[in-house]
Amino acid sequence: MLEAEVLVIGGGIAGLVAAARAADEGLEVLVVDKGSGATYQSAGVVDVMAYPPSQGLFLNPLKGVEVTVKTAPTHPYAIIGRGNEEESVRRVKEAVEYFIDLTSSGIRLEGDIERNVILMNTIGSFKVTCLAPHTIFNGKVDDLSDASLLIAGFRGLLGFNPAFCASGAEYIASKFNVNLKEAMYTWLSHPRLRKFNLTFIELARMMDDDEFRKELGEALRKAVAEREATHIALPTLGFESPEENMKVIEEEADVKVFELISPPPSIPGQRMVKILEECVRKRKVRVIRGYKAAGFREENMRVKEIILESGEKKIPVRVGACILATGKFIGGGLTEEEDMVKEAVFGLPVYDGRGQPLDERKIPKLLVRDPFSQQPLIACGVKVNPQMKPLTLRGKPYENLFAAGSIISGYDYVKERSGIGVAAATGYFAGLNAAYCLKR
Amino acid sequence: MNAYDVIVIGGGSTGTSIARDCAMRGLKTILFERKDLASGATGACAGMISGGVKYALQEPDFAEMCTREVVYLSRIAKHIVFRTPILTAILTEEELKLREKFVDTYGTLTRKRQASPILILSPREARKLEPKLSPNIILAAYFDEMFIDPFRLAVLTALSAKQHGAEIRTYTEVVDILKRNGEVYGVKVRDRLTGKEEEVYGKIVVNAAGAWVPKISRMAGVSQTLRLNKGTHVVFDRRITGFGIICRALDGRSVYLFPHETGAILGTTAIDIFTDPDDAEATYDEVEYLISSMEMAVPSIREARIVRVMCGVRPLIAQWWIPEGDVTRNFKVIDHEERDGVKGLISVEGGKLVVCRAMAEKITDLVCEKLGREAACRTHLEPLPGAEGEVDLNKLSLKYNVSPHTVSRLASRQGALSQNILACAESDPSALTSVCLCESVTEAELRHAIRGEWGKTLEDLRRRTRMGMGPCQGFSCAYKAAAILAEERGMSASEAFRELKAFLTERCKGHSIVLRGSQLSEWEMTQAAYNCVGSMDDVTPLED
Amino acid sequence: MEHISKILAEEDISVFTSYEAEVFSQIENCQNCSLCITYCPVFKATSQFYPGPRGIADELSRNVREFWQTKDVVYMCTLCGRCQEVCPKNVPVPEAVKLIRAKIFVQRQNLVPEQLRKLLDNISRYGYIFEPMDREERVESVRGRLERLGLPYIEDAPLDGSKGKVAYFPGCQAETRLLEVKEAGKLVLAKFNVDYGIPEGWKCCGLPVRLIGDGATADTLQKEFFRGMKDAGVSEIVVTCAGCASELKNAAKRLRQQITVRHLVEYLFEEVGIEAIREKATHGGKVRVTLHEPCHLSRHVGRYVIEYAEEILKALPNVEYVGMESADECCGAGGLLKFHFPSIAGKIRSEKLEKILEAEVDFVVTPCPLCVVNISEGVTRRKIGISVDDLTVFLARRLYAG
Repeated sequence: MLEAEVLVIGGGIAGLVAAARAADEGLEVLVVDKGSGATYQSAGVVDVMAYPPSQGLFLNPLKGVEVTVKTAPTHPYAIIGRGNEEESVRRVKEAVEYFIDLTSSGIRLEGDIERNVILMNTIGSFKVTCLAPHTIFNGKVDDLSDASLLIAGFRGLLGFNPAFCASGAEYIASKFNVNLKEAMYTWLSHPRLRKFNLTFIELARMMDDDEFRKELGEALRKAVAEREATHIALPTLGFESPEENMKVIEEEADVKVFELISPPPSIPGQRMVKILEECVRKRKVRVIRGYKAAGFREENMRVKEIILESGEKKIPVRVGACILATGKFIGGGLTEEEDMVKEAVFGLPVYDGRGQPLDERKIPKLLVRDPFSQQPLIACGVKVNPQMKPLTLRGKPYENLFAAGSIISGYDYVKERSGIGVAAATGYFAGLNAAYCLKR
Repeated sequence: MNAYDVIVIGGGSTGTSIARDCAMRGLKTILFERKDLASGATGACAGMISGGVKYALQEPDFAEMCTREVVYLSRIAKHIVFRTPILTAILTEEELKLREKFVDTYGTLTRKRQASPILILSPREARKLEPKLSPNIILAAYFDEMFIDPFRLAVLTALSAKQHGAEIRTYTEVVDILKRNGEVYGVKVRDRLTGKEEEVYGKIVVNAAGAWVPKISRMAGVSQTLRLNKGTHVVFDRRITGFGIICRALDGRSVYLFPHETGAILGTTAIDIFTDPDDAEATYDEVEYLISSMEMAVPSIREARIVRVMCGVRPLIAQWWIPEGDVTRNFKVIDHEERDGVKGLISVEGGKLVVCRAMAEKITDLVCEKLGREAACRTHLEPLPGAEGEVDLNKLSLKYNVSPHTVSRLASRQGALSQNILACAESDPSALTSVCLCESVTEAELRHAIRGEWGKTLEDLRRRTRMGMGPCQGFSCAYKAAAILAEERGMSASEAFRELKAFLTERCKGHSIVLRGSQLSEWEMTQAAYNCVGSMDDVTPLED
Repeated sequence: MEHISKILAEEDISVFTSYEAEVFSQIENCQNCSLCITYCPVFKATSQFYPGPRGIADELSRNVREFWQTKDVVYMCTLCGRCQEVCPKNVPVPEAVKLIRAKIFVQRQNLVPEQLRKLLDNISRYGYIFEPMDREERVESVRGRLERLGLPYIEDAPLDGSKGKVAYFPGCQAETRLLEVKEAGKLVLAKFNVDYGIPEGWKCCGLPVRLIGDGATADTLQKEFFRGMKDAGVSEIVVTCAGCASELKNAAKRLRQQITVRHLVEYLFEEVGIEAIREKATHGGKVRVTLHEPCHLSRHVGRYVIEYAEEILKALPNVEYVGMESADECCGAGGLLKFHFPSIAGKIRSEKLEKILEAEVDFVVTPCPLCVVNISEGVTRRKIGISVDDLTVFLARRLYAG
């Protein structure tokens, strides 16, 4: 445990994809994760590209990637293809397909990488994304033409109001020119569910229960018959076995059923992390939780050792190559010191979204007053070269250090809707490059 | 003819108190507030209701009034009044000499008035009570003061006014004063939510618009000057210290850090302004001034999490050539018939939160005199809604199976009315769901605020229930509350989203000045939730 | 000062020590993201009555009043620490739970669950958290257990003050209940020629006392313990219980003692070395083994200890080590839950038993006697044919001819 051929710091999407890819090349990979990051908070759907920088909504994510490469040379999508649109598109596609395959034993991700879809969420608005688990994808707004949608809520469920979602659904349908016949709502309750302060995880666990889901199906069947509904939307379809639960309920209620996307931390998001970790472990990657990277030792521009912190103990780990996938602020990859952004493990210089070093620029200068406008702070991070190696203060990168995920600058995953796409793409190529670096 | 006896302009502590007193004395009363209750100076203060010992030497009568009013408020609003123990941190010899005189005077006077004594503590004793105090203090002086929730005060006073027959109209702006032959006979108002305008007639118009008094008076052709002075507060998401801390500011003034319910308030600055009070904005410099000053006494304040920076404008009586701190806090009731020959118009200048009831009494006396009505003032005797009885936290908690914590937070806002609000759970237990987890605001309380307390926007709900004032700043509750508001007020989805966006934008104003430490991840999560997942940033036009 | 105390009492304002203030201000970092409740074993077992770590953080952080209002929920926490681990802000809920229990114990003792208060009687009477067997009974029991396990008996080596001696601290469980753990501890240390001794008249490490809220007694026990160690010239302590390990490590740090406290697993890995273990562990047939990770080691000391344990198991000849799903989830015995909420503890344990069954092993081992007793109970009740051993005992069986 004191050595690792490839050490991945950070067990989020980017880190796990990088680890799996490096392991595929036959290397011994160790992933260390402190246990809490943005991945646990995700919505559980795969964003590739919806709003390229300075552009409106693109219905074809790959076209979006093309435009991005053309207009935003510092974007990770552009960097992985060295500025060549075709190359970038090819690589993004490769990485996303890898991600789909990697998680296929646990999640059935549906969708077409050349087509963004509109999905409804529990807040009453919509989300644009590319791929989603089957139980969510089933509810894409495109499919709701001529539908009589029944949104089922649960009394006392924290944070979900089906009436509000129903009026939201009508608005969304008209906005995206879908001929939704009508959106109705109903309130359900069940003696086994608490009457108030019911949480999503409790409801999800109930959904996994055989008896409960059958009874739910029955209740929905009645509601469907009464209201003449053709589709049902639920706030969640379960934690362990959403597809199975969906099948049972669909059979009972005899209509199409789907689950809505929810804001962080969502059940599908938590599920995705769990499954991804399991799948990566199956590829002979060691994932250990509860370790924080607290320092490093380098020699002649090669990272020799990473110091891990476990409780009170400091454990040095000799590394062949290292991949930094520590995330942004949620993950703790970037921190704040005296109102300035710092990279937490290696002290690498932090850049803004345009590739300029932040230097002494303070955080308030990187924020825009209107929270619904693009925030320059989100695009900050380390700057990588086409091999995914982050630049150091000396200008050139360490020989064997790579970066993946939201620690990288140059893109705004919030505005663009490109989170998992970039994480997978940068992770994939960081892992591959780390492997090549060692094999050489 | 919609003729009222009194038209009150301004829904702050003063305006609502006037409406209450007038209504209680049987006058047909209507109050207009262009925004929400307590959205002026009342909503921007620290909530201290001091017994006025500070004024005892210079203005003994005023000091006595303050002391009396504290007693009254503690009685009639006992559920929203609380006592905060305070430590004045003294850091230098020079400061000690300055404070000594004050301490001696204070000591003599408190003994006379049987107010709380002032105690001198050694640094060790002080730091034992409050470990966050700097090790550099050489002495600390302890005393305590009473505090009130100013939002609740205004709302409850308005409720009481309504109970006695007054009409309260929020989001209704007075756009003109109707005058004929030197006599004011009414006002022209515009409903800011619907745009509808109407004329309302009344015998007496009382201008209690605080910093906007001169603006309103101008509509009647009367000129008035106030000394408008901006004060900024920094609000933190937690109590930080158990005691209130007062220390010397960088420029020799005093600054304070007061724990306030579940948060803390650091204040305040004093900057004369000469523009429209609506344009007053808190600045980074003011924030830095406050934090650097308090840092001397509480070093960890710099790491504390700022959730909001708010500023308000003090409507001081126009006394110049003296520092703001020396301007009188007493109030002036102006009978414009006497002063300007304009009949039917009264205005009030100056004043302080603690004497709002006394201000109202004096004004209502004048109004009654003018209308030839005789009625005794009873506002100091009758409790405000919620103060009528005791709340048995344990009993309520067991009865409705709600945690004692949730009940106690509810009781700190609603007092004895908590019972009624929880009672609706009997028909619909899901109403006990906490919408705002940080502040334990149940759906039942929110609906009550919308139905019975003029809650029209999410900001209104925030003022009434503290929803969204916790560490998450609306991240987990804003969209839930928006759904409830939409349901209660029949708003469409796009209207509700507009409201949601307005609320979150307002919340963000606070922490875009400074974003540090753990706040950064909170901010990233909020961005991801509302924009990436919630598409609130979608710029395609909203077609209804 | 009385006046100040009076005002504080009236307004329900608590004065914190700087340590308490520090912990509570970290609690206030909670952002209500609710991730913790997905991972909380108690929440999973009974959300109806327990609001989960988020609930505790909410009630505490936004609470102006005294903390006694959390009395119902604060005794339901197992202090497993999973919540803190997944929390984006690493909010220290377990630490806060400990502090509140301490406050309740001092200010409102009538709110402490009866069953827990009773346990304290044992401390004052016997010095252990459980009532020890009487001398004869104990000797018989030890003999019987060693016979069943096929292990020899060796006398307790005394701590004689000679330099360089390692103190072996068996802990209450090993002394009064799972007696074979203490015997195995001695055997393992002896096998590797470690110069060790067992302190005389030792008492409980203080963890259960602290969990009940009696911080004062816990502090006294620990002060006395370390004074005794210092007097005996000890600089190295080895324990075989995960709880003792985390508690004594914390105590040593807090009391600024220059004494190293390590779990036997750490000592073996760091001082004895994998190769030496592999060389000597020649006994016993082929077995399939999995590891249950005690919360007190994985989260309250550090995951590295689990790594050590795994390496040791992997190094044993004829032992096939397999990982178990959710190996690091609490077994249900934490936080003294078994004593006052046995049904919840039982439900949590069921989850653990499911995972053990799925692993399809002969043995489940764990370096914590408390976990062993708990899991064994579950295994016996459900008539599952798996052996549950403390890791120390398992090791001893591989080191000695049976």
